[in-house]
Amino acid sequence: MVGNAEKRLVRKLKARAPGAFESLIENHQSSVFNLLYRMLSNREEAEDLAQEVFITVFKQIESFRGDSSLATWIYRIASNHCINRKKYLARRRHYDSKSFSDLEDRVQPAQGKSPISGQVPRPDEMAEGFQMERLVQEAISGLDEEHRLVLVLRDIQNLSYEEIEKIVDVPAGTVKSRLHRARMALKEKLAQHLR
Amino acid sequence: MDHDRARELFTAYHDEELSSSEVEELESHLAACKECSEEWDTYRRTMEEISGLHRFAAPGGMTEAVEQKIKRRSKGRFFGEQRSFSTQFAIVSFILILLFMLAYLLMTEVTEITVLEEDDPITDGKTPTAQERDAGAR
Repeated sequence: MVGNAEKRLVRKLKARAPGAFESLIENHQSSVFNLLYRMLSNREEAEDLAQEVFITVFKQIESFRGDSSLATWIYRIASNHCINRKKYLARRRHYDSKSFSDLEDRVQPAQGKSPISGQVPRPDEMAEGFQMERLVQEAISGLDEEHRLVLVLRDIQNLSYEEIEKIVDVPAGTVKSRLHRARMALKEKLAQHLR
Repeated sequence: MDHDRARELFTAYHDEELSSSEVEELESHLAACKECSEEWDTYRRTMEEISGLHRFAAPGGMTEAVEQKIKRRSKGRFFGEQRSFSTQFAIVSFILILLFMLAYLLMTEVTEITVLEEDDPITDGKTPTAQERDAGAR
């Protein structure tokens, strides 16, 4: 399950070796932040929660047995934190999706639909792209919690079914049926914008 | 194959998890059914939009922020000030020098007191003579 390099890193983390924790954050911060952002649709909440995820990793690294990869274990912690934060925010009635409006300032142009060198999109095409991205994110936000999590893990984080089973802790059949329902629901929400 | 069955297979078809016979059956249905073909086209385009979503860079300073929180919550047990070996050596050396100086000063003090006591004529151990007692009285 766990490669030699990862085993070494885990040993160092357990020994609190200098630099090990920094290395772990460096390697996983982007995937954790993206998962939380797509789940919460709020940049500040995602950033704060990502920090809490790494604090939990620091506190609980002793309990990591290597049954799954470190990334899968961290995703699992992030998913649990996410569910708890959503409940907390729902209780406080504080949650909203306001921060997606700053998408234009925050995208990382190196990935996703980034312009290929020499094919810079026109401003109107860019605006249309951002508008569509906003619609997709809003549609994702409207999904049920468990459907959204599976969809984000599979279709945005590009994890395998096996990894998702371990993160969500449900059988493969359940993962697949949740994913199918999530995609079909998203299709219905976006249909009018895609025709 | 009916419409419902065809649509149930969309996800497995997209993820290339259908057997060759199922693929053949679904594709022949899509070729013959305009309604399901349009549904599949919308599904496919939805998937393109999802997979094209941007990846965000993690906010800067994540490591420092996490370490600061851990330091605060652990009351400085973790990620506190780390002194280098040379700094630790300098501190220990300074303390040792101070101790030696203190010990030296104490020993010097004791020696001076002893010398003074030895020079004192009243306490030199000799009994004053009768003449010395008279001179002192006058």
